[in-house]
Amino acid sequence: MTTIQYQNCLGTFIFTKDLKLIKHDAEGRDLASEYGAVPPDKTLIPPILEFFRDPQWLRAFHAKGIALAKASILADFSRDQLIITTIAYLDDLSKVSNMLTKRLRDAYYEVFPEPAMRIRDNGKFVELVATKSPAELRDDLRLSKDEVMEAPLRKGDWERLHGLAVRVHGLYAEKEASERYLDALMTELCPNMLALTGSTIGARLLQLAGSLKKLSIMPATTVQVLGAETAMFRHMRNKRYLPPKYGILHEHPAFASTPRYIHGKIARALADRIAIAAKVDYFKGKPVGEELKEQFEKRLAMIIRQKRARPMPVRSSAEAGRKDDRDGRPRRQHHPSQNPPRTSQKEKGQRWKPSRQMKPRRYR
Amino acid sequence: MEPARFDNIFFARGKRELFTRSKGDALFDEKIVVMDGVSCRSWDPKRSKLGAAIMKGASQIGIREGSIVLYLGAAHGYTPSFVSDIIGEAGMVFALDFAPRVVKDLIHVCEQRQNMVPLLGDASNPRSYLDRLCLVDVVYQDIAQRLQTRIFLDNCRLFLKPDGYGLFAVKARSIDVARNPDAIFKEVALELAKELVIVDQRRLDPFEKDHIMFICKKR
Ligand SMILES: C[S@@+](CC[C@H](N)C(=O)[O-])C[C@H]1O[C@@H](n2cnc3c(N)ncnc32)[C@H](O)[C@@H]1O
Repeated sequence: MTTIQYQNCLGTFIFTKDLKLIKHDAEGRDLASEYGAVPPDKTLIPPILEFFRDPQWLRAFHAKGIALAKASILADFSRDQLIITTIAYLDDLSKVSNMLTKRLRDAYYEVFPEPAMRIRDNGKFVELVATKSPAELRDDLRLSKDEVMEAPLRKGDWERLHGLAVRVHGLYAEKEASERYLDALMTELCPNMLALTGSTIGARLLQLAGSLKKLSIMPATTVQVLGAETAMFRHMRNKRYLPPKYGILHEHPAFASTPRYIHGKIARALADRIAIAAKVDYFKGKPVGEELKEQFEKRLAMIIRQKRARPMPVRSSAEAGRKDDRDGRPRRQHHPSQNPPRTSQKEKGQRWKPSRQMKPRRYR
Repeated sequence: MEPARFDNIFFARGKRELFTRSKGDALFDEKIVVMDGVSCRSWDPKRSKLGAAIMKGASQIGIREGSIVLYLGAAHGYTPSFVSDIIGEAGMVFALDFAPRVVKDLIHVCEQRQNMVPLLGDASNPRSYLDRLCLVDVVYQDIAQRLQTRIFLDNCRLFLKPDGYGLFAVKARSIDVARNPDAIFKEVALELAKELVIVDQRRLDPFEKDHIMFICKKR
């Protein structure tokens, strides 16, 4: 008599033809030869799945399911997640340290304003008030006791003020340490992207993509607009808005010194190479970062050269002197009175109505 | 507190609030009310599409005491925990999600509920978790994916008992951001009707904008 062997997370099961259980092996060993068993054909899957509805197996699924889920979560861990947590941590650290630096300046301003007034640089100010006593600070600033507007504070008052200063100083140190850590992680895990983008932009791209794996399978066109999701969705809902040309990439130094109307080309050139670098980083291939960087720089020079040969694109009066969106794209349509509808829409014979988004915009 | 038409579900304050009879403690900081020795857990229809469908007057939900449920798109386990209340100790909910981040929370919930099993897996590949569950009475899906209808039908084909229920929450924008939701829902309904019988459908506004819940039965 042939028997059937079925294996699942609860182990190996040997059934008779009419699905009576003969043997259960929780270890999941292969018992096919021992029992002369064959795998179930497709039509048997539903009745076998029905068999496991029994409370006994349901309880086993509960215990096993938890164990398996925990194991796959551990197996899923990959060090590039640390890059994402670190960049998020750095964002918070910046926010918090700026906030508390302001608080520290205000606090000093009330009781001993000279350091706050004379030391403009935040890092320096924090370091000085955290490491020096009021008397030392006075000496540093070459001020005598009667020249300063130092309030008559008690010891306990100074202690708290100094406590705040030390905390904020610690935040600056923590930020530096985290930046070094981020650099180290990027060098270890994304050396090729690092060469092209630097630590921060590289880490941001990972953050936006969710993981190195996801970034590595993204097409360059997606990489190019990572961080411009708002503009992208606006474009997808209403084609009168142009698609964005760049997102977070725009923080790359190549954009700072070039005119805006070639930024789309630059973003494209950069994104193409980042997409390759991310793949090499993910699959740990042989280094190409420096080569990609050179290629990009050459391409950048060419884009800049070409720009000289071509006249500036004519901007409509509606666009001129207007502040663009964060992503830098002008809006194709502005206001019905200023911009006639696109001809293609007329050709389609549709009646053109101003959409809600096309009401006049107020400018900041 | 008045019992709704479904097992272990109650309305309160003139059908403005939803509760389930609950053995366990609050898992998501929700309110617990004890009435006549029965402790009830408050269920926020703004956070749960199943809750929203019930508030919108769904005529049947297929989930009752003792049901075995496959829940696709379980996220942190909010709605699954209420399904766990409804089905009680004799039932089981297999709660699947593919995002390791949320499955961590889900595991935590399942450890406190004997009738919940966490599954880390991709709903678009049902064979990949075939070895971790049994035939079910209800397939519930809420995954906000473009191909969600096909995924739902695949899962119903493989895991749903004949006469079982398929509950399918659809977010219009996850299928197409630009098109009119009504047109999208109509298309989904046509596709569902090829394999299942739609017994009820409820728009979920104002709890969820441009969402619908299809309640289907397997032939
Ligand atoms: C809208 S949330 C569901 C919320 C949940 N139903 C509730 O009410 O508490 C959608 C979830 O589906 C998950 N998801 C999306 N696609 C999936 C897939 N193919 N397989 C498994 N889970 C998926 C996402 O990770 C996300 O957690």
